[in-house]
Amino acid sequence: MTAIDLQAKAKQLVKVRCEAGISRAIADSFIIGQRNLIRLSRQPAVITGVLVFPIVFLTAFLLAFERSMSAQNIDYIQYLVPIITLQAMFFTAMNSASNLAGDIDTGMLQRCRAMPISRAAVLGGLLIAYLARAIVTIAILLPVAYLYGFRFQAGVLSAIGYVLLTLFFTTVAVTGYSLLALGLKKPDLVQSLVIVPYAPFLLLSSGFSPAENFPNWLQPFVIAQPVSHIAAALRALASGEPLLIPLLWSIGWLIVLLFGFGFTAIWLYRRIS
Amino acid sequence: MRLPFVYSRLTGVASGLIMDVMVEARGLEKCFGKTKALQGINLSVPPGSVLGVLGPNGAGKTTTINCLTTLLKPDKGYATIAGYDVIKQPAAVRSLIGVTGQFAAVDEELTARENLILFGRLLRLSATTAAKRATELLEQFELLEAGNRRVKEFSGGMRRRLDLAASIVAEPLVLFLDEPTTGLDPRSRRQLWDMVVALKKRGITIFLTTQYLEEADELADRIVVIDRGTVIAEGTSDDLKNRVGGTFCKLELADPKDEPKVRRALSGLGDIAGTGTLTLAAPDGVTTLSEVVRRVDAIGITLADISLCRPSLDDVFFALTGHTTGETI
Repeated sequence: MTAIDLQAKAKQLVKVRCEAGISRAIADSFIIGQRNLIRLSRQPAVITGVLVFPIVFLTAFLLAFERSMSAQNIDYIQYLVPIITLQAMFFTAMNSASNLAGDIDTGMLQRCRAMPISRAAVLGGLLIAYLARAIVTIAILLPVAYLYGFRFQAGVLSAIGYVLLTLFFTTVAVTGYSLLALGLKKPDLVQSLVIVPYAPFLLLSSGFSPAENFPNWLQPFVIAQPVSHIAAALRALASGEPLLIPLLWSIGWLIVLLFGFGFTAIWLYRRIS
Repeated sequence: MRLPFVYSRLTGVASGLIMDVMVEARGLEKCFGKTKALQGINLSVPPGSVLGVLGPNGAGKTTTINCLTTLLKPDKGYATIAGYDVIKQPAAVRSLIGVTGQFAAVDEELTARENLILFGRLLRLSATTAAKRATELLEQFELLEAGNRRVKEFSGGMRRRLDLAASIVAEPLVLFLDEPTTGLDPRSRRQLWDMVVALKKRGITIFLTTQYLEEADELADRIVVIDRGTVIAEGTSDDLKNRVGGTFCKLELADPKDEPKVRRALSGLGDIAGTGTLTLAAPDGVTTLSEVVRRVDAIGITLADISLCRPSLDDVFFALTGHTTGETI
């Protein structure tokens, strides 16, 4: 090839393989999302994480606390299902962090970074795959909850709202957990630390038990933190209780966290080495 | 070479004039904390040629590749691929290159074919073209039979081949190979070399780092030796060997006791080094060799072996750096 041919070829490649733009970001995210789903479908541990864990926890908490909660006039199955749903989403996000750390460890991420693909595609692909996984989890958990007596008492629209709010939470949780993977990079380290955000936010929330049941000094945290608000909003959607205040708090929290996590994640992705 | 480059920087587009250089780096510097990984790397690669970057572990080979492939921003200096600036036009640079890292970066859970299709689609091939291209590459890289097996069942050599195939799914102008055969057995290494030679024949410019002198010797048109973040020598394999001293003649005596006699017989031909196995400079190559044979013959002494030797790149490296390639700095 002569110099001019090469020049023309270079120009053409730069044009054809342009990585910028929203449509590129979406297309690339779906290609990587599809790849992540194939991977997930081949990991046996995923089956237990998706199918078994949430149901085990739902059953165990119900058996352990139903009686004491009914003494406080709480219909515990209606109270419990929202936080079990959020817990399942936490597990989903924790697994996404492990898989992302695996991609960093094997060099897959570096390969993607050196390719002309959208800078948002790796995270987008992660989100798409894990949202799909979240939908499967919800589709299994809710029918089981129904068998235990859980009901959407406010109709179909509220049920749809319940699922959408759950998926919004999953989006934020996966994005947030990706920071852990992008920051720590080592799968073992990530694996051992995924519990750190989970434990305080899920367990120290008003999701399993009302805030009054916590020690006084802890109550301000329990009341203010996002998981409590989101669990309250999900309960309101399921049981037809006043929705506006918890929903506004939830959406406010989720939007703030999504932007914070999202921009930090892309920033880390660009400069990771 | 400088002037057209300045022109391209001013206009922001690659100009036809500069295409006598496909990859260029000037004064690349990069620090990690207090460690100076690169301390002013200069190099250039003409289109269609293979540059071998030779150096021990920690010399800055991978950091150089990471800067050239937009994975890392250099602290100082600039670099271009086909005239596109790696710092200011990283997206353009990415669309021209293929990269095979030190560790085979393919998806273990996917089959070889699925991997190739994935990368093909990410490089804008349609689903059908990507599938066709995958079959083509599997055949070309001798992976057709294993194509539908998951990569985690692959041997090291197969993985590297797949990795190489993955970086040329959509043909790049420049291919970066970072220690492509580190840790491979000799047979797999030879196989990979053949594949690199085939890619070179197709006109792809190749930037190859290696710790193996033999590998640089075998594949590279020009060699750059780097040590502690700087280029310490540059040239063809022959140029480098000549820098250490040219050809020498090596003779092994059948009987070590003959050594004094042989030394006397060869006096006047230059300094003789060694015991048992004697070496002397052979500036005139075969002429010197036959002169040695004639003189040794004349005094009736038998030789176990006599040969004409060129210094190995190992010798070159030692002469240039004072340490061998195997040592980590």
